[in-house]
Amino acid sequence: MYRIEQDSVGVTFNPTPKNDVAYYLARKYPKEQVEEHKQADGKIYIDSLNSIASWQKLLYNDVHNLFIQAQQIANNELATNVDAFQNSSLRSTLCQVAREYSSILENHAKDLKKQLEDDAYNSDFHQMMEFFSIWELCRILLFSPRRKSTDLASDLVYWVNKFIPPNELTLEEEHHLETVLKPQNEPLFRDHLIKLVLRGDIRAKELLSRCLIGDETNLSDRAIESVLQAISSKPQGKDIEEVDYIIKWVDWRAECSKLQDQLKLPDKELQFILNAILDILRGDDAIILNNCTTWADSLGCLLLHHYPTTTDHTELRVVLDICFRAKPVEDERDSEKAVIKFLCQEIDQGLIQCQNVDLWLAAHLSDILSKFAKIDTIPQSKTSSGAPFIDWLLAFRESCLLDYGELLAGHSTLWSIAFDYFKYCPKYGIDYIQQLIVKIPMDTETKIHKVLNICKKYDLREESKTICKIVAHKFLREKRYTSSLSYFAKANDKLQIKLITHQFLNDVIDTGELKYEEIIESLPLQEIADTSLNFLSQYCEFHHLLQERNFETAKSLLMNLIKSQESPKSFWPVLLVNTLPLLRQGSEKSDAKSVFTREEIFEILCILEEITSFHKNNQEFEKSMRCIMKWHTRDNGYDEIDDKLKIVRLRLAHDSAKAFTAKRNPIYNDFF
Amino acid sequence: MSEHDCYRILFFQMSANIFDTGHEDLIHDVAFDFYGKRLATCSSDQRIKVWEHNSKMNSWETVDTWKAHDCSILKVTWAHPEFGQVLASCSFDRSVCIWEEQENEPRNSGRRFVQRARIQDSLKSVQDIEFAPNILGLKLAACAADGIVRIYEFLEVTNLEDYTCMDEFEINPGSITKEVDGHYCISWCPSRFNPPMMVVGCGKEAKIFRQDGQSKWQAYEVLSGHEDTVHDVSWAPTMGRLVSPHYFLFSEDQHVRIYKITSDRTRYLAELLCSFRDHNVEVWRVEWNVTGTILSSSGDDGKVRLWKAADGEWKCMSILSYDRQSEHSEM
Repeated sequence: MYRIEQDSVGVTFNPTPKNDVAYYLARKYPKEQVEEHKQADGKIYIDSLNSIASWQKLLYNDVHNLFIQAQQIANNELATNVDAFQNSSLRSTLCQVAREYSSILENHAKDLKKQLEDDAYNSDFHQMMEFFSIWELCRILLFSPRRKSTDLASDLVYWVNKFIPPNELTLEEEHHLETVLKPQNEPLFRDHLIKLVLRGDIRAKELLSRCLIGDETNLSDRAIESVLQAISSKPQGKDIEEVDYIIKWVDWRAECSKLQDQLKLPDKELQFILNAILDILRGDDAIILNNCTTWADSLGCLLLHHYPTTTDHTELRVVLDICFRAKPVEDERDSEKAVIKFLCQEIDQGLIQCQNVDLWLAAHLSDILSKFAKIDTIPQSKTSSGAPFIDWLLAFRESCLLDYGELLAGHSTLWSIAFDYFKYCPKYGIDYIQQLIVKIPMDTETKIHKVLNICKKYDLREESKTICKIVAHKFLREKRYTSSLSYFAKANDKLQIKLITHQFLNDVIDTGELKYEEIIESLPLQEIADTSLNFLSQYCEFHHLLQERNFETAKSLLMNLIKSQESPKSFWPVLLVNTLPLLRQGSEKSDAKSVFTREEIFEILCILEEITSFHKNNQEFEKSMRCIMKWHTRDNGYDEIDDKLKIVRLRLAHDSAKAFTAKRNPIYNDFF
Repeated sequence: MSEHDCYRILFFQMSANIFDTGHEDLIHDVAFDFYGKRLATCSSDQRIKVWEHNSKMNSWETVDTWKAHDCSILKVTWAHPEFGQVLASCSFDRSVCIWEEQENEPRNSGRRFVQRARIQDSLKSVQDIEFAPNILGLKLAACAADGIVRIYEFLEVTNLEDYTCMDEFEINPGSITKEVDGHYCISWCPSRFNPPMMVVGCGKEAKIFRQDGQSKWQAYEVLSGHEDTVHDVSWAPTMGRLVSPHYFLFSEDQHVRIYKITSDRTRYLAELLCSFRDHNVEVWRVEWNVTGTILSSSGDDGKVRLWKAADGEWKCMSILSYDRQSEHSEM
């Protein structure tokens, strides 16, 4: 049947947590079945779905211990403490953990900022700052210790100033402003000064001071000094009670209004600037919003100058609505979407957006949030779809931790910490450990031990066996028999051990030499307790005894080996020819004592008979005999043998006669 | 689909690595090894190539290339590494070959992979092969255009020449037409907790086969109703995160379908979870990722689509174009 040539795209997944996708132009039907042939295109595209940049690697590695610490704290505290006081203690410990995460993020951001000096646009730094800003926002909104009401606004102002700073002047602009005589006439000066005042930046005072001409009697200088004084005397809410703060702030605003009413200067430019500053200081929404560029900028400035007593999320929402109306959100980035959702207290939606920013962020935020949620300190009880928030959060946390762990498991150096994340996923963690532990490439001995220890830790017997078998095969291919046998033993793969020992025995058949003696001696045989290895070990021991001329013990050992029938039949001729030195030794003795007992002779004769009949139509036996006859020669110090082992039969008959004589002669009875 | 999977939104940073295999004809199949460090490719040029990833250079380098069959090679697959570095291939020449790496042979010598077995039991081309889950030992299922699935067992890993065809069964017993539009496909159930079973795509149906009490392979469930030929089937990894086991398949009617399989004592029940038609052309290949949380599909439109469950539905999270004009869609 001929078909029209058709091609398609084929796809295959890398079956590891790296999640690479390989795709290629694929021929759908065999070439032999198609009429026309297209030109070959053998390109393969491989896209990596899970990639970790070097800065992410450092961060992920650094925060891992803190994650473990958070789990231990939460598990211990929640297991033992239930009352409100202890919940408060747990809350403060978790707040501390959240702060430590922030410190780590800040340190990494600083390191990346240093690189910024070399690289004008460092996307890593900006990406890092994006999720540092989200973490800090969540810390302020959700993970901070119980606060005075004024702290919310001041913390958010800190957040806006830190993560959405106003544009700085360039060096050229700075230089220009330093050289002009009347800076108040410069629009650049004016804009920058107002920006700094809006943000509550202390540099505003220094900048405004440049308008002073140094004459205390001058009206303008006096007005400037008054405004500077107003800026300096702005009440701070941190060290005073909330009520006192509100009173002071209302009074201070009244002072600013009064000052503004009295402001009448001949220098119209200065009059404009000071007026604008006082408008801002007394919290004029319209002026503030007019001078802001984005909703976030507006939020920081309004909270600082008009709503510093914003106490809760409802009030915050009011301010946010003002900001969004005045400065609509444009071209939202994922991080911005997340920020807005958190500010609007749509925590579930914020977390979902975080997944688009970074898996680390989503996993660690949802983890610590779930711990706060367990002690009822999260201001959300339902998701946006109406589901119970805590149930949703726990499921989301696990989902993120699993995905984050999967990302780590595919990394060449971070793989081991992945399993610590899976460990704390109560529902599916163990499935992930089972599935992914076997996927860790065994590059080094250390890695093998590490992987096997993880298996041991989680009692993963089947996975441990699989890994041992993989490693054992690898060593076998490299002809590292000791290691291979050890790992096959750990995998309890008796069949493979048997196959390897048979390979060793075949080597004895071929050469008559015990090349693998050292390997056998180096193995912990008692521990392994494998019959085929024990057989090989005892066979080596038999040859030692022969060399030491300890014939009696050697004979006992040989008889054990023969009786055990552990070896393949192809090896039986070797065992039989091994009786020859013992029989020869017996025949050389002047006393009439036989080497083997009658029972032993009978046993050997049975074996001999079996392999002789076996011999009749068995090529494998003939092959063994041909090999043995090559090395079992007089030149090599052995008795000459034929392919029917007649000499064994003859010697046994001789020994049997001795045994018979011994039985007839009571003198020898004691020896049997 | 578990509840919490619904909340996933994916963020992937795509970084592409492109290499030319140098096959003299179009590729039929590409297979990663267990650790994803090696790739095997096969083509109409009758050759297999094995590639290894050089992590330092971030490049793929050839381990060896050799002529493996006398006709187009349709599939290539790696055995589990506990059985060594073993590859199987099947061809239009009606044979299945087993290849084992010889590490003492130099790379790119053409001798690095030695043929351990050449199995020619089929009367027609062998269309798909897959090694069984390692827990079942070294077993290979092969389905051929003669409508028969054959399961070969290799008893000694050190002696791959020694194999037996332990089972064979007709996919469509009693059917006069043995070849259903020339396409059969196969996928083993990877669960170690279930008895051995597999799904076989055959014509407009897919069948779940399992051994009965007398160790005979029987079709326990027939998934019918497809509008055209089923081209590929893939059983999901058995991770608890997804309701498992389930698998999906697709057909020439341009659909990717995901089924959830449950069983009672006597039979398997297949529930169609979802069906996508995004490719809008024939879909050719489908495959799950290692955790069964992402699935990929590719088709005649030259696109690869990656799917993920979110908000209770499977949605396309990314589209990759063979011409590299990648589109990333956000859910």
